[in-house]
Amino acid sequence: METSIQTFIGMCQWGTSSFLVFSSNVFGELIYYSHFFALILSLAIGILVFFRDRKSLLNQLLFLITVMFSLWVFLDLVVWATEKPEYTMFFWSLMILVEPLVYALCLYFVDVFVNKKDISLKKKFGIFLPLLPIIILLPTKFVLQGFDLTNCNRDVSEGFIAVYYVYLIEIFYSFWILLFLFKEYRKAIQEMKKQILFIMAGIVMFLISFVSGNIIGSLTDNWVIAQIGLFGMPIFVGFLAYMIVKFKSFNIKLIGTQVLVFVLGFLVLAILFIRNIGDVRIVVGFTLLFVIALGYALVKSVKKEVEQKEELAKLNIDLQELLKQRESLVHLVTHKVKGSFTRSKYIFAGMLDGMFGDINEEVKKRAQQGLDSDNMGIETVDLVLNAANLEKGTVKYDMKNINFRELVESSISDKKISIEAKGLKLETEIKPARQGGDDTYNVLGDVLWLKEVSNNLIENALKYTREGKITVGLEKKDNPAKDGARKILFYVKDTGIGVTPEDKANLFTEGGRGKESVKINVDSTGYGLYSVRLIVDAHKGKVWMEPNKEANGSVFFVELDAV
Amino acid sequence: MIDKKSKIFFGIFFSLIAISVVLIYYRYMVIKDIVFLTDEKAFNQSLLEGQ
Repeated sequence: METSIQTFIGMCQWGTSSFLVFSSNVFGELIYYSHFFALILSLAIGILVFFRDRKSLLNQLLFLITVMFSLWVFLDLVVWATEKPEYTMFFWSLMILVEPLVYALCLYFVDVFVNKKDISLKKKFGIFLPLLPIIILLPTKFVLQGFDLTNCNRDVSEGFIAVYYVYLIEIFYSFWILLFLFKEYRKAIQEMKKQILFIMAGIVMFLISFVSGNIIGSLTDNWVIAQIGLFGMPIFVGFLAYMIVKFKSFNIKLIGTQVLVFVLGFLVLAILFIRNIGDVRIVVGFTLLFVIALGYALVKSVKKEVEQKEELAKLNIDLQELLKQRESLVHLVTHKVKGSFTRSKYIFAGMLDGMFGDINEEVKKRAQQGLDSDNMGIETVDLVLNAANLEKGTVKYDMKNINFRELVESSISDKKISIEAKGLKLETEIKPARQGGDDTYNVLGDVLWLKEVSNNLIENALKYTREGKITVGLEKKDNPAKDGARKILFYVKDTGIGVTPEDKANLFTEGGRGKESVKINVDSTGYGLYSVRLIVDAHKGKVWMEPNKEANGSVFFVELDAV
Repeated sequence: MIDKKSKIFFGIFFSLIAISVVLIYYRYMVIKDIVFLTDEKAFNQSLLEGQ
């Protein structure tokens, strides 16, 4: 029997396929046009969307749909081209598995698209469980009964699951999607209504054309008509492309004029592979239709991009104007306010010095409070003004070769009394710059502004530490990026309240204040660390914060190039 | 992002698919267990008609 079958197969004189898909066994070269066009277009849009935002569930689902569909198209081509019965059986079985999976994924996709979140586990069960009979029965005669040698058609006899069950659930999925989208359309807001309409049109046309082509093929054995079903995919892609341009769907800002041009190029290239003049007319006809449609989308997309660029340019001019006005306002307000604080400060100082006669203890106490408050006000105004000048770049740094260690030690001695008065311990960890040798910590910088940095960091540690200790450290280390060069690392470690991950993002930004830190220091302006960052940046250094690993609290680091 | 239970569900689901694919590969490509649905008489007849 085995020999007879081989004899029969030999008598059919089927052509040998190359690369699985190319052979003379196909019904016509048009098949390559319909298949490759759908496959490449589908993959192109799927890959474009996926790589724009890999983390988005919606983009992942669209990518899966296009990959599954492309896989189906490839499998179909193999079945058309191959001369080996075992290949036909194997790849045909795979197609029966992949096809309803595309529908299930489309259903999952539209739900996520409309509701902007993942579906429940129950719904996932509802969508994917109907596929189980197909998966379980795939190796049995209920899916494929056998290979039909009659007429040398390389046809397969499909079982109950392939002929009835698969198509039933595909029609079921298609109607589920339609009903779902109708329901969502009715309760959606105007902007979303349009998007739902586009998705509905695109996806339903795709799925219905896909399933109807296959149903006709399965019931009538006329698989040529089934090719028409593949053109549903380019139509779907067209709708997706329009949505991406109009609504920035799938988080793509620019589609791609790239994808549109690519598709146009492919359409024209396809004509080269068609040799039969009758087929060329069909291909050129389709190509013309798509060129018109895609050309229109291309022109619209480019026009939109040009309009957006012009809008951006205008907004930029407005922004520059606003920044100038803001700067003037900041200077005006800070100078006026500083002036008021200064006048008030001298009055309180005069009262305490006895310039206005003797005052009792109570008045002295109040005058001192007033003086302290004015000093803090002046300090705050200076901080804001400095930050504005630093940001603008109007500050002139007097860059010299300075001894950074002396600077740090000076800051420590300035703050030592305040730290100990608060009941905190002050420790220093100044390591030798080089083992057994010279321990200079020289940097190129402005001594006043760098002192501002070290004062600010130590002051911060003092404000946000209730108990424990503050450690000020200095070390020198090699610069891995440059041979022979070294870096100086200055750090202030505290056992204070620490910085939450949410506040960390605002730490060195203008006006950035942490929610927890404001509870401890209500007068926090958010300009101190911002100024530190601007000064360190101007010195080509780095500043950052890490949590204190040994205890609760933070460690602030400043790294500068040593000279 | 997909939650843990869903990941388990999809893990099982796609594992079943993988097992099924391996089984059909084994059946058709390795042991070539294919049922040919024609007989010699009908086949010869169809060949003659083709000529």
